[in-house]
Amino acid sequence: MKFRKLTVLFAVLCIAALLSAPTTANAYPDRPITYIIGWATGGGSDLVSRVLCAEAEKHLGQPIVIVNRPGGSGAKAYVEISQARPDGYTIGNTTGTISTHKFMGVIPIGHEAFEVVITFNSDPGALWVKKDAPWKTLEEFVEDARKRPEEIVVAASNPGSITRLGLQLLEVKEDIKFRIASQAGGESAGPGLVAGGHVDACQAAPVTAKSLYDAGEIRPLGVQSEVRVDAFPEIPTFMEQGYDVVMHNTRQILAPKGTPKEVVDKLYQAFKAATKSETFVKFMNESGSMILDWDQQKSTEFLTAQDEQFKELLQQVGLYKEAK
Amino acid sequence: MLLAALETVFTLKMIALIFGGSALGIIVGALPGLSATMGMALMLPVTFYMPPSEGILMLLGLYTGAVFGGAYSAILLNIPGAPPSVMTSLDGYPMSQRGEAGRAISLATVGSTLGGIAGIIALIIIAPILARFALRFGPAEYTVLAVFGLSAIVAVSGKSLARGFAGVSLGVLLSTVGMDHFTNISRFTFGSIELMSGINFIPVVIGLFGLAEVISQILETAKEGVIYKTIKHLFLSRSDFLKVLKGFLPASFIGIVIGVLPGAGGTIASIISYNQAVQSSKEPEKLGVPGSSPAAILLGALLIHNLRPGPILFTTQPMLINTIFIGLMVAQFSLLLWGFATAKIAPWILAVRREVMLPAIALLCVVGSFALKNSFFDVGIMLVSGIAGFFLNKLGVKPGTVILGLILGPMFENNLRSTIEISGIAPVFTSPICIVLWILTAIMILYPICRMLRLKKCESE
Repeated sequence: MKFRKLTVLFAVLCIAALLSAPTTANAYPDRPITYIIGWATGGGSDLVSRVLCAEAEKHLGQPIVIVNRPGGSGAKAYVEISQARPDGYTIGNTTGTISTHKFMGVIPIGHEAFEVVITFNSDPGALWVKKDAPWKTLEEFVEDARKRPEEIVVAASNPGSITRLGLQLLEVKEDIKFRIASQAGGESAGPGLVAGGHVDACQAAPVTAKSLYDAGEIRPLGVQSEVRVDAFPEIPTFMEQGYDVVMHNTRQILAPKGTPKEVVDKLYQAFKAATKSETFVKFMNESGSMILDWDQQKSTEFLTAQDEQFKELLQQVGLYKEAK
Repeated sequence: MLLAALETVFTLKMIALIFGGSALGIIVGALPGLSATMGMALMLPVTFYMPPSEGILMLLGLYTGAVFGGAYSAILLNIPGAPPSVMTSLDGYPMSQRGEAGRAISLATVGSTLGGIAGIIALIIIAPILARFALRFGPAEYTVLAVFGLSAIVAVSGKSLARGFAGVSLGVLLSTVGMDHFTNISRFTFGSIELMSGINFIPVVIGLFGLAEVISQILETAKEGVIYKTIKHLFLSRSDFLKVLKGFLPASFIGIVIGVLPGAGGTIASIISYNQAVQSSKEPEKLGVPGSSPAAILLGALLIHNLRPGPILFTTQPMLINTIFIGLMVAQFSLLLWGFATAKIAPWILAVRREVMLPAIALLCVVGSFALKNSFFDVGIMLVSGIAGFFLNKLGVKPGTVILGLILGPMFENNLRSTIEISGIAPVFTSPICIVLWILTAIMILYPICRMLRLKKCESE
């Protein structure tokens, strides 16, 4: 009998707990948030995210637990985030691959399968040559390439990477051809190859080329952002030099589709505040990366435009493939 | 400047941070699957709230400890805890099987410390020059460097060279799985996203070494009943010490030169210097704990703290550089303390009954392979490699050869193809650095063969 009473009591408590659940949900977040990174520990996305999350935690009042799920240049993490419960407790970050994977047959989803919380960082492409290279300006370089098609060797990452697309955008717009040398290790190998005289030029974000640039071993011909990068005010953009080539590798924070608007807003406010924090600003400036704080609407507009651009470009370079 | 740096480091707080960091690092390193990078990334947010010198010194302590810590699980359990300790397990584990685990740990301690100190001194003197020299390594040079690394096959394949080649080929074959970076075509991935980034070599290492050993011991125990391990030689003898000294000097020199090359790094450096140490040692099967040179890759740690390693750092931050070098020295001595302190205790883990020990190791294998990428797929890879490793051992193919192929295969392939994309194959044979490397490779392969022939001649006489 006593046992039965206990059971009833337990049931009542359970129902009470269930009923009270919605009220606690209003106070999002009331438990730790999982942040999925589709790249390995210690990589670029990982470091930036860890610094950012450590700051955002303070504004959310809950810890952010970082989980690395490297695989397929973020593809594995994108799928996992898109399938998580849309309650704001599972989020993660992306790079430009969110706009290439679906056009290269890797995974069928892109940014439209998510609520974009914020675009917090951008690394524009840039073109670098050796300190004593014959080309002084981007124009000289492009004109030389026009005269000698497929002779100037430019190091870039693998086909389909944002780095390589930036270089190919220049090729397409100017109707020129370089001899592109793939680098399996990504764009980070490029500046060293240029400084060592193994290739004529390389395409790499300023953040990657910074150490050899600071050491005076390599020289920039231009950066592919709309405006000059804060950390490198002396590097002119392609636009300024009369070349309509803009290529960014941006990072967003994604939440699964259907995450409530209030939750996305709350996350946006917290992460926006984090991008303004002293630690984050210092980290990004010293590494030479650009900080952004675009909200959901601006980010979505940007990604939609980026999808168009990448789709067209991938078709032009023959990498376009419908995802299954 | 140097004095100021000394003052900075020799405060109780700094010393405590370095020793604490290295103790933490040893634990991280000893647990299979938890790498130095991972430990450092996890500690990174903590160091942001410290001044750069404190933060970096703690990270450096952690890194030094983690690289060394891998030796524990390599020696005691045959699971290389960190990638560079693959080579440690080749000799360390057989030693602990003979009951000499304490001696193996002490050897690794002395080797690591000496190698580390040599590395740091070398860095202080020649780092700026080396950094420039490293720039001269292009794809062609890396291609031949990979070939040079593959010549280690002679050292790791044991008695049968043919089986060694079979193992390396298997490793190279496995390394071709994944996205081909040159054509963007997936190779052997069967449509799996997991396989797109290739087969990670850590789960393979854990399987081939750790799990395979567990399987073979289970079968052995089932046959012969429970065997208790003898534990002897807890410490180093004088002659051991001299032997380490003799082997480590050339090995650490090679380690430093290769370790400083971007893209080659510690693991490949350890393979090649191991190869060298084995060949220069009179009793190759017994000695050869490589003098590791973590110092060169340690500079990579600076990256994490936004201090980009490179020639510029030496001119812009001389004070910090001095502090780092002194801190590194202290970290090496902290290894000596922890290493010797544990050399007498750690081996007793082997006295645990096998019925308890083997499942625990199997569990560690699973956790370790999962922890790397939080991926069950990697656990699967570990299980398959474990079973494969058991049969490979039966066939006399040493697991080390497979790992060698797995690591050096992509380095060879990617750089060779990159060379061809840039300028055709010619530089591989004409660049001066390549020619030197080819000659070294030839010596590495021919020397043991000549020695064998001479021994045979002596015997027949």
